[in-house]
Amino acid sequence: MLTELLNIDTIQIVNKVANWQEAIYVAASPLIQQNKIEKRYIQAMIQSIEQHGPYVVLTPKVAIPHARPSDGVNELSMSLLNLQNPVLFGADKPVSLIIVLAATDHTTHLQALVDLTQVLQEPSQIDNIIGCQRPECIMEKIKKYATEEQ
Amino acid sequence: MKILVVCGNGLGSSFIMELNVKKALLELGKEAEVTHTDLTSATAEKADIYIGAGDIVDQLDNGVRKIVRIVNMMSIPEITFKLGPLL
Repeated sequence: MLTELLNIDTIQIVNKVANWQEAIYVAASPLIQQNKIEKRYIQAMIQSIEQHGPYVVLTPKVAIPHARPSDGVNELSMSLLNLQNPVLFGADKPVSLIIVLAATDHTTHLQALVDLTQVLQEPSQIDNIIGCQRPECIMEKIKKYATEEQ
Repeated sequence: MKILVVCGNGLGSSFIMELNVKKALLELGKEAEVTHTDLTSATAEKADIYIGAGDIVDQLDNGVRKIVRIVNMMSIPEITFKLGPLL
């Protein structure tokens, strides 16, 4: 499931961005281009963090920004941005991997999140993904970690 | 015993954390009902323990509720350490 959503068209590697808002914008841009989400979804993700704080930083170095299905999601989708230079989501929250989640309801994305939990449960696996220089490398690692027997 | 995992939208981070809270319970050898929801619904929902990122659960702290603040939502040891004494 996760490997169907994260693919060569939705994974990007970028050197650096100015701030976390730009990180979310850049991370979500493939989904805009594919018409999977509307532009207002990006604003909603940013607003949610401004309102509640950087709770989307799930674990060190990784953020999963998202908003509600009603905020402009056309199709269940995800995208991933790997930043070579981390960006701060909070004073002590540097983030290198930004995984945008766009869900259409409360259930269809859950298997992808179960897979994602497998991928993110080991800090070494996160570092290996951050170390990738090409999207193909990231896809390969995600596929390996998501399907590995734990 | 009911544990409510809370996040901003009740869609992403709280679900992932719910999976990890269940793993932590298994390690602790304890049983509890674990569900996840968004902050707005959580204010009206009764639970024995509310758990989530500090930014979020602090807003639920009315001085009476049992609140657990998690920094690393992927860390089973952190969840086990903080949740264990309350069970």
